[in-house]
Amino acid sequence: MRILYTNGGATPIRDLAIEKLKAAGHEVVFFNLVETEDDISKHTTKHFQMYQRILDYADNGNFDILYWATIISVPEYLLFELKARPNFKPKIIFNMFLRGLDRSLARCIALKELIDMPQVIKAVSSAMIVKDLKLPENFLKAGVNLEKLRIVSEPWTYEVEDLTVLDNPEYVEHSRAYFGFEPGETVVLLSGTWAYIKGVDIFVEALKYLSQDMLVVIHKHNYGLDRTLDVNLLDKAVHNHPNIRILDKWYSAQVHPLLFRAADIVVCAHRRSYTYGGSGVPALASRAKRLIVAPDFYFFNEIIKRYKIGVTYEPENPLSMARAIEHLERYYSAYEEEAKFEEVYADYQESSDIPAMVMREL
Amino acid sequence: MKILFFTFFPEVLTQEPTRQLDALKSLGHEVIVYNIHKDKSEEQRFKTRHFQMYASLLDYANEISADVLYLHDYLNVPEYLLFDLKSRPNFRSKIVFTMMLREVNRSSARALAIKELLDLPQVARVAVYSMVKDFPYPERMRILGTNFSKIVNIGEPYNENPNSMVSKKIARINLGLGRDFTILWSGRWIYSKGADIFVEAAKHIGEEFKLLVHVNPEGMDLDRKILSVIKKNHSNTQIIEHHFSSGEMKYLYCASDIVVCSHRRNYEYSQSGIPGMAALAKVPIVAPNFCYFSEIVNRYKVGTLYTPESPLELAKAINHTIDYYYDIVENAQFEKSLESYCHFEDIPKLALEGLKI
Repeated sequence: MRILYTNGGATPIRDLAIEKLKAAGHEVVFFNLVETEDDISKHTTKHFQMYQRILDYADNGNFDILYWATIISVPEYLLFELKARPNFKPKIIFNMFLRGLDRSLARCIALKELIDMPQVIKAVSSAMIVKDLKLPENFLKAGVNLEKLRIVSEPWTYEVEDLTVLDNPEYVEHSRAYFGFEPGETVVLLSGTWAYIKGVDIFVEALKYLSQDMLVVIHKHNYGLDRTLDVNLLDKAVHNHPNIRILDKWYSAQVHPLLFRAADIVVCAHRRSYTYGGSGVPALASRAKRLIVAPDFYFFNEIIKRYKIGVTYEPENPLSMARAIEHLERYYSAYEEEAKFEEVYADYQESSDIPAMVMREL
Repeated sequence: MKILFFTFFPEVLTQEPTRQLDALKSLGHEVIVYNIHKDKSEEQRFKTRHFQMYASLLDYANEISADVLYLHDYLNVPEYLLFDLKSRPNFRSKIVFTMMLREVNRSSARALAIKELLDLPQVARVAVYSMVKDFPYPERMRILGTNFSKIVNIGEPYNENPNSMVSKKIARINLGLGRDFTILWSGRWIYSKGADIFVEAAKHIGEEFKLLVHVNPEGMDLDRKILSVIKKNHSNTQIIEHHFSSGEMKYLYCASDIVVCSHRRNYEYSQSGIPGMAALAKVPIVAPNFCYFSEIVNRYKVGTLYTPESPLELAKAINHTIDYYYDIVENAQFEKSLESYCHFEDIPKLALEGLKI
């Protein structure tokens, strides 16, 4: 089939996904959503015309499939672009989030209308739990056509081979020394995009209540900065917890997993708005055999309940988060013994496999 | 009526809307202000255009049993409001919102979303700012069967008091300008307003004419280097980079002989305060040939039109206006052209007039 494949920016995973589609016999044309300054501006400001250009291109290029591999951030816009083009020929497969749907019937109704459009043949969403997944109630209430929905396992952002560093005893043994952590020191790690939705400010507030004996490590990704956050947040973190290490750098796919291994407790500080959101943290922590502290909402609470890989706390409550970290530290060995780390990541898959897999199922 | 008044601009909460709120209250309404900046999460949703941006607002309108939910700012994501209303079939408050037609003009998808929104029974009134009365709607709105009976033209708001205009002499003394024939470009130095087009056009304007370039320092999205390019292209250029309060803008217009609008095509069916200010100062404009600029120039002969986005055509139009200046000024119906204009404090009254709840 002739596929117009699109997502924002260039990533090795995207290239690999295209290779796998080609290997399956498809003709693939890549369309970069953020090729020009104007595209980037429209993309980042969620401008309503950002869908216009690609649909024009898809319609004029004699494509069978428009594969929208990046998450559709505003399905309402795609819906109206399609409504405005009753003769649009290519069939559409798009990626979507379940995140936030539990709190918005409005979005679920929009998704229902979009998925009902004849051009849409598959809506793909990942989930940290696939077996016995409980879909958001609003999703069901809106009457979404579940036959067009394909839930895939949460994708690794790494190639699986990269993670084999965690099977190398030599690397694992020296991981703490590599990052400069003292033996016997409890290391609490927060790693990821510095964003409001990920609750980094909640974590900073929680540091006030944490014992100074623990070393807090903040690994802040240098991409995806959320400019609405307080610019002095890192200073506040240092003020709230002087025993802290800030790692403001990018780590390669071979080194990043070792950071997880070098830590003892990995924290997920996500806000409630992350309910039903996917995260690579539980899987990566489990792969590194490390316990997590995460907010008490779906999927985090479910994955912790099923696989006993840590403890939950009341979402958006810094004191509750700090208490959970201290509780986990105190009973670490007991939790470690119970944890079913292997079962967590057994379900994860390489994200570059997903498009070819979805196409195979059509 | 109990009116829930909504705005998301924090600075606006302490400026114009105060007058609008007073105006609403003076009509005998009970007015409650919904301020998103009181709640960080709520503020975040609006800043990032999160899909739940209207959810709390509608919840609150329901909670206080508001008769009217009045959205003071342009509705920037009508699709979200549409689906939030679809998810609330029993939502009781009637909605009055303001919007611009320029987005509808550029996208059938957006026009369709607006049509569906207007078809909802909860949407009572849409107030559109425009520079001309009885304005032509973008064609695609007609094709889609938009319910025009819910749309009201409230005109173009301005702050200036027509009686406060000053003489050219006083205005020039105030700005430190001499006697040169003066061509004004004023506003935010941004791509959509075509500041770069004007900079290019400057090459083709005689050096005996002064270019008075006012740069509103807020929200500049063009490279600052362009400010030195204009001086290179036209040495008789004076740049004033300053945020003028609404009462001070009159000096710029009254000091000038021509006012230039270099807006790009994506400004079609948009609003601009420039023709109104120029008319108050009785100064002709040079403007791109698309709606509403074309409507206002063709109807009231207040200036010269040119092919949009062409620096050469813009320069030709400026030179034409200079050559036929006295004929153009004599024929211009400046005062009549102001018939579509209104004061800020009149907006709520006009938006709610005749509304039956």
